[in-house]
Amino acid sequence: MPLEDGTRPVVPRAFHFGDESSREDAAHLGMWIFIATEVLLFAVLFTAYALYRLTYPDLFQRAPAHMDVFLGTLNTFVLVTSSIVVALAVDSVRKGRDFAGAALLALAVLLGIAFLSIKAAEYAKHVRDGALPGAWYAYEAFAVPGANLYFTLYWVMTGVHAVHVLVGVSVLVTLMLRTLTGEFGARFHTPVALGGMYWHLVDVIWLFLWPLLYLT
Amino acid sequence: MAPSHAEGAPRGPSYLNAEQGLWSWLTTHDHKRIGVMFLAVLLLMFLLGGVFAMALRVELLTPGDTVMGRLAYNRAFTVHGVVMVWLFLIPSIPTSFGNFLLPLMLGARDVAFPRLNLASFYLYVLGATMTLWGVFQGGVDTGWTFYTPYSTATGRDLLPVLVGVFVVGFSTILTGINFITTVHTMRAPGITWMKVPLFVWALYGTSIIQVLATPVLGMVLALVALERVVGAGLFDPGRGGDPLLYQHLFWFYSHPAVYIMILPGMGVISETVCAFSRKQPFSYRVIVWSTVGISFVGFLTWGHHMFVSGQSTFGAGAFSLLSMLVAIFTAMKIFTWLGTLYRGSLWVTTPFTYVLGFIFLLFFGGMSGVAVAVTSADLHWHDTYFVVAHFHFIMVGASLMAFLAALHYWFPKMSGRRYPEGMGIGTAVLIIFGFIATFLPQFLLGNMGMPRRYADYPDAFQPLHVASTAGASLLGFGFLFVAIYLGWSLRHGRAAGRNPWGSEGYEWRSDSPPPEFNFHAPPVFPRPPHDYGRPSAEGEVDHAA
Amino acid sequence: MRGGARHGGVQVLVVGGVLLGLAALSFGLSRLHLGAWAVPVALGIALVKAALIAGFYMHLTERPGGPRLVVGTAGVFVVILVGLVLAEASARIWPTLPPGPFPVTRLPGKDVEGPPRVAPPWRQPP
Repeated sequence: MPLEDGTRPVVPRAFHFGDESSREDAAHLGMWIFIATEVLLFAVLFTAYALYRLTYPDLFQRAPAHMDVFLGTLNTFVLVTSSIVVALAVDSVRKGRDFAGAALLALAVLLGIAFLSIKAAEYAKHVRDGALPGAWYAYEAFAVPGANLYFTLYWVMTGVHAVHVLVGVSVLVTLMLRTLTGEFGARFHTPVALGGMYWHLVDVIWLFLWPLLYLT
Repeated sequence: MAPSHAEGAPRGPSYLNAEQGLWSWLTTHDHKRIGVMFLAVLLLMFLLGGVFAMALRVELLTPGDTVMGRLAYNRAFTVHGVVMVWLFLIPSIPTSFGNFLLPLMLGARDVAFPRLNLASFYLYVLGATMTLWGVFQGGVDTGWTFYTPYSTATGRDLLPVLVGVFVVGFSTILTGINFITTVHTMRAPGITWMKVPLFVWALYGTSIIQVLATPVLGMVLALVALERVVGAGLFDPGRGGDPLLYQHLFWFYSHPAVYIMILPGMGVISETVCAFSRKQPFSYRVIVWSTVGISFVGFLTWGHHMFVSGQSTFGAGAFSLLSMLVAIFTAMKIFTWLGTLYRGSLWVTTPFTYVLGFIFLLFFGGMSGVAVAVTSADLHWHDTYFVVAHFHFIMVGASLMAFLAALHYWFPKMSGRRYPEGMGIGTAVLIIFGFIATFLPQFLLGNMGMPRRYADYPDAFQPLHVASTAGASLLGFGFLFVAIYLGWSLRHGRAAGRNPWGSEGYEWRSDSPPPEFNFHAPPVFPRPPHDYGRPSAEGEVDHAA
Repeated sequence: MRGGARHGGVQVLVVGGVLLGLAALSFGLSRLHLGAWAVPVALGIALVKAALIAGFYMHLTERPGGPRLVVGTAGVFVVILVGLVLAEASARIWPTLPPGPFPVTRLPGKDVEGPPRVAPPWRQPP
C-alpha cells in the first residue's frame, strides 16, 4: 500500500507490527469492535424501550407531548453539526493542516458543551415538573400507569448518552491539545481518526434516541 | 521446510528470564507473561470456588443443618457460583492459554494491543477483588444470576458485586477486542484463514461472543444497580415493569457465556486430539464452521432458561427448537473428533486422558441438555438437581477437563519442564471418575424432585447425596495431586526440550519456553497446522515417559 | 489511507447537508402524525443517517473487510436481541403485568430516604 505522501520514512509507533498500514488497520479494526460493544450496550436500553412501547402503546405515543421537543430537536442539530465539524477536522489533519484541524476540534468541543448545557436545561425542567426517574416520579400531569417507566427510560437513555458525550468532549479536548503540539499530521493521525469515530458514534446514538423519545 | 532454528537447544534467554524481578512481571507487555499471571490468579480463584463447593457438599451430607445454617448455605452457593462462573470459567482458557498461545500460533511477536492486554489483566484483578470483597462483606445470597426481584429487594449490599462483575466483564471485552484484531491483522505470511490453528478459531469464536454479549451484561447489571439506588421500576411489576425483561437481557449474555466457557475448551480438544492420535483432523472445515455456528446459534437460545418464568408459549417453543440446533453443531464436533481418533496412532498421555474424559462427559452433558431443552420435560426438571448436574457436566465435565488438558499439554511449553506422566494419567482417571461419582447421582436426585439451592432434603435422598459428596472428595484429592506434582515439576521436572509431544502445532516451532519475542527469526509455516499426514521433519519425540 | 485523501472537505459538507436535511425531514414528518407508520419511518430515516455517518465520516467506505464485518455482525445481534424479546413478549396470551393504575403520588419510596429495600407486603386479591 502506498503511503500518503511518501516524503518521509515512517516512524514505527508499535514495533510488533510489520508495517505502518497493518498498524493502522489493526487500530481501526479494534476501534470498530469497541464501537460494536457500545452499540450492544445501548441495544439493551432500546430493547427495554421496545418492550415497554409494546406493553403501553398509547402512553408512549402521548409521551412526547410532555417532552421539550424544541430543545431536543435543537440538540439534534447541534450534535449533527458537531459531527460535521469533527469530520472536517479529521480531514484537515489528514491533509497536514493541523492548525485548522485543532481549531475545528475546538469548535466541536464548544458544540459538545452546548449540547450538554441544553440537555441540562431540559433536565432542570423535568426536575421542576417532578418527572423524575423511578421511585421519585411525581409528575401529576402525566399520571397514567407506565408513565414512570417512560421517564425512567428517558433519564437512563439520555443519561448514559450524556455520559458518552462527556467522555467524547474530553477525548476531543485531548486530541485538540495534542494536535496543537504538532503530534498529528499527514503521516500519523490515527488517534484523531479514532477519536472522531467515537464522536460520530455518540452522534449516531442520539439520532436514534431523538425520534424515539421526542417525535413518535 | 523446517523452521530456521530446527536444532533443539534453546538459544538465548527465554521469556521467563529475559528480565528479572517482580516489577518486570507486573509491568510487562509480553503476552506470555500476562498469560502466566492470569493463569496464576485464575488457579487461586478456582481454589476458592472449589473450597466453597466442598463446603456445599459437606453441608448436603446429611438432611438438616450439617455444618451451616440456611442463610450461610445461600451465601456459600453464591460465592461458589460467582467465583466459578464470573471469575474462573469465563476468563479461564482465553485469558491464560489464549493469551500465551494466540500470537505463537499465528507467528506474531505479540497480540495487537499489548498495553490493552496488561490493562485487561489489572481490570480483572481489580474487578475480582471488588467482587470478592463485595460478596464477603455484603453476605450476598442471590446466587450468581442476581435474579430480580430478589436482587433488587434483598437487604444485602449488592452494589460492590455488581460493580466488580461489571469491571471483570470490561476486562473480558478488552481481551476479546485484542484477540479478534490479532487474528485479523497479525497472522504471519502464509497463514490464511483456512490454515489458522483450530484453537485460534475457537478463541476467535469465543472473542466474538465476549465482545457482543458482555456489554449487554454490563448494562443489565447497571440497571439492577439503578433499581436498587433509585427504584427505577424497569424490572418491578409493582411499578409497571416486567421482571421477565431482566431474564431476557441477563440470559442474552449468560447463555452465550456458556459457549464462552466451552468453545475454547473445544479448541483445546481439537488441538490435542490431532496431536495424540497423530492424524490431521477428520475435517478441519467442519470444526471451523461448527465453531462459527455455535457462536452464532448460541445467541438464539437464551429463552430456554425461562420456560417456567411466564414467557409466551410461542417463545418457549421457538427457543426450544433453536436450543436443539446447538446440539447439531456440538455433535458435528464430537463426530469429527471421533473420526480423528479412528485408526489414529493413539498415544495415551495425561492430556489425552482428559481428552477422552472430555468427549465422554460433553456427550453426556450435551444429551441431557437436549433433554432439558424439551419444554414439557423441562417443566419437571426445571430448578432441580437434574439441571445442576447437566450444567456441571458441561462446565466441569467439559470446560474444566479441557482446562486440565490444556494445562498438561502446554505445561512443557510454558515452563520448559515435564511432569511425571504416570502420576498425571493416574490423577486424570481419578478426577474423571470422581466427577462422574459426584454428578451422576445428581441427575437421579433431580429426577426424583430434589430442588436446587436447598440446604435440606428428605431422608430418602441421603444415599445419593452421600455418593455425590464422596465423589466430590475424590475430585478434591485429584486437584490436590495435580497441584502437588505440577508444583513439584515447576522446579524439579525434567527439561522438556522444544517439542516433547512431537506436535505439529505452530506454537511448538519456537523454543519451550519461548524466547521473549516468540521466535528468533521470522517464522515460516509452509504446512497447514495439524499436518500429521507426512513424516515430520523434526522427530524429537520423547517417548521415555 | 487507502485513498483517504480523496475524501475532501467538499464531500464532508455534502454529506453533512444531507444529514441536516434528513433531520429536518424527520422532524417535519413527526408533525404529520403518521400513526402506525411514524416509528418505522423515523427509524428508517435514522438508519439512513447512521449509514451515511458510518460510511463517510467513520471511513467505512475506505475499509473493506474486518470493520464492515464487525458492523454487520453488531447490527445482526441488535436485531436478534430486540426481535426475539419482542417476538416472545407479543405472543403472550395473557398479560404478565398487573393492571394499573399506580397513583404517582403514592409510590413507595417517595417519603423515605432512597427507594424501598424490601418487597411490598402481599395483598390478598379481592
